[in-house]
Amino acid sequence: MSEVKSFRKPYNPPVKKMTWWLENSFYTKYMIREGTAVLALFAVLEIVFGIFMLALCDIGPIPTLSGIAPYAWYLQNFLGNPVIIALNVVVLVSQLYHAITWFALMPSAVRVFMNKNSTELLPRWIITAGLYAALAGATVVILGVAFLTV
Amino acid sequence: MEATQKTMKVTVLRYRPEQDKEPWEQTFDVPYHKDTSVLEALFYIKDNFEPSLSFRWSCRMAVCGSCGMMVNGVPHLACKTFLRDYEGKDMKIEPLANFPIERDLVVDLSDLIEKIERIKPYIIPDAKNANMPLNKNFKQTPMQMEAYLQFAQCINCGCCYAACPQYKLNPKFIGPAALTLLYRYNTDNRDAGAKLRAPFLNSEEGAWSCTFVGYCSEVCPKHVDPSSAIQLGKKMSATDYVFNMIKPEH
Repeated sequence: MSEVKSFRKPYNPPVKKMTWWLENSFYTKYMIREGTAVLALFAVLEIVFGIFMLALCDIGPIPTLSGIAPYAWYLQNFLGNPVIIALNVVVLVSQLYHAITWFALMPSAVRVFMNKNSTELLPRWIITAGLYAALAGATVVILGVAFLTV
Repeated sequence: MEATQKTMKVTVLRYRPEQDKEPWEQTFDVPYHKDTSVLEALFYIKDNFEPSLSFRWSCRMAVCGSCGMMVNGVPHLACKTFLRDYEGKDMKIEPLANFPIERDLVVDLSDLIEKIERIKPYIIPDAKNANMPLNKNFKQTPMQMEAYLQFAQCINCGCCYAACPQYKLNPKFIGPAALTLLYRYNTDNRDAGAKLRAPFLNSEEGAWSCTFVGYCSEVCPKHVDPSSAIQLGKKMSATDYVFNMIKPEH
């Protein structure tokens, strides 16, 4: 045993379990990215609701809502509602924020060398550019199908 | 020259366990010029105002990893951070976040050290190469070396743990530096220890506790990019899981 008296008394700073993500803008941006998942859920429920209304039109005698077929009601009264339009704009902006920040982060999860004998890594921008190209491709296909079937 | 010397208000978090209940702030006017580092500012304070101020340092050149601390809330090496970059602002120096404070700017890093030891941070050769001299069967091509070299640059300064909100919320998380070293050794073609490290990588407090906040990579003074190593570790862990499903070990 040492003769020297120890004054050791480590101090543990308190952890703010609920508000830690407000301490630093990097954390806040991360939490906004995670939070966009909630808005993505809204978009998914909206589509599921639309499919449900479409299915209602297909079950024999068509029930009506305010005198029109369910799917027409969904298109006009639901999707046409200014509140829903405003919500959809917010959802779109949030998903773009998610995509932009995620595409910037994604190259960290990929480690590919230029070729078999190279010591040079595939540059980050190529991976990010590939993701934007995939996003553009998917958008063109979806919009194309939408316009062709209208 | 002397007449134009600038000064900065530098606030340091003090904690003296023998007399303080909790940390408190002390502010000093520190003169600086274009090459004054935060570490030198601390020396100036210690030499001129507060001889009892405690902080860790050794190499003064971002090699030893001793002087990790929070500068205006961001983890930095004091020796690699310069007052000129904070011109016009005040500076606040605090001990590295997410670790218990021992005294002033000195924190207890034993949790970090234990986790680094836990993941077996050394080359474990296969049975055939065991006890072979390292120059025998361990030649590497430049590419084989490049595969892990970036992740071998870690100096164990602890800045990534101070940056990690997951470690803040769950101290059981093995954390960025240790998981990066785990990936570094698993990726080394001279190493055959991946199976021994798998339980740590695959566990709840291993790679899967990381939610890819990415702040560790932002603050790493050696550009190791721990968040990259952890995401690649997740890939390793998932592959291991699938292979074990198809062909169980036991």
